[in-house]
Amino acid sequence: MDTIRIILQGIENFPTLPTIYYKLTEVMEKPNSTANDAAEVITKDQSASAKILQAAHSSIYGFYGKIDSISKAIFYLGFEEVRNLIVLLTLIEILPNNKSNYFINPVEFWKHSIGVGIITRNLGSIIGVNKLENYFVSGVIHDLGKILFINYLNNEYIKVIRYVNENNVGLTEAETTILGINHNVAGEMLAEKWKLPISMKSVIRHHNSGLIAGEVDTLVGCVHIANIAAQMFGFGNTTIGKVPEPNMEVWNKLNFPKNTFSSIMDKVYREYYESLALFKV
Amino acid sequence: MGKIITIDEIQEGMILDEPVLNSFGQTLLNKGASLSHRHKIVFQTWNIKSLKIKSDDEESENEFSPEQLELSEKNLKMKLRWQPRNLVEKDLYNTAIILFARHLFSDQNKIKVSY
Repeated sequence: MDTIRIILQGIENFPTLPTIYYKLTEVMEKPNSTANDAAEVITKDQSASAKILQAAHSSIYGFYGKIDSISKAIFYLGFEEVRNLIVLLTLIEILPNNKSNYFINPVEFWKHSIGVGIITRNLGSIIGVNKLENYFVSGVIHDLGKILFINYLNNEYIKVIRYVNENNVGLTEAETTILGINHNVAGEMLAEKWKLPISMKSVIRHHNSGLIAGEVDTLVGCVHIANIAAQMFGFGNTTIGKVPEPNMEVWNKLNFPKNTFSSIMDKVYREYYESLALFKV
Repeated sequence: MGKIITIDEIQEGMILDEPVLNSFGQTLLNKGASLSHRHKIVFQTWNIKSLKIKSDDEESENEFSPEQLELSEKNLKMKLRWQPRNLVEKDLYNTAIILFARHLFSDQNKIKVSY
């Protein structure tokens, strides 16, 4: 079977998101629904509720001591981010730390992903984004397609790694050349199947360039930079080949202050290690 | 380089080395501000646990030796296919040298690195 077919079949057979995710979407889409309606849906799933509360209460969001119920989690984090956390918690169950693979170590994968989430949210904050909802989880799940590859490919991917090293090209280019599909496209297809929000789909598809249809998008641009920064900071070790160059258009459009990284360095470092403990990575 | 302290350690006249932001990303106090006990109450209200102050403390001033930083930079250069082109990239690059040095030399976070 060729690689594309393996991946397409993989997407078809991939676990679905829990029912609670779609029930929550229904509630969100009703114009008259309140935070209590959404909280009612979530609290029916005790395991999910406990995990969401733990994450909402963490340093990632900075609402220490204020969130002691799902209703408050929704109030402070927003509908979307609480729903996003369900996606993240599901993915962590799908790709547990002990799943071995020749080319990506899941522990390193999650370290990198969480690092990108933390940096993305901090970058959004430093450039004055008002609505930081989506920034953490979108950053974390930017490499959704790699979870598919880890699950369904092994020997085929070794050829990709060899191609990157021998030709000094980017990973997605090598994936497209060798496999006929790259992890960004595969990830977007899974996101489509899961009916993830459009902002997340854009991050998954376009984080390598930071551009959507040639234009810089703030969230995608932040994830683009965070993805590079996390690799440079040693947050997880998933880099195949060399760390790519940031897109100059993203710098120009998003106007980061010149001391952006030195000013968030210690905060990011603290949040990163606290988050690894939180998500048991 | 500054030093990270908890809110309880705040003393009158300490100088802030990085801005303190609330959970909405709004700046509560700018870098360079002189701290007072009044600020401590504001930070407690916003559940801020720690902050970074300027320090002459030798330990925080020299978190790493020049040799350690050099090794970290050497490693970073090997990972990149580019060199900084503007001030923000330079800041990213310099920050990466320090954070990667923490991975290499901090006892808690030692990782294996090949040279």
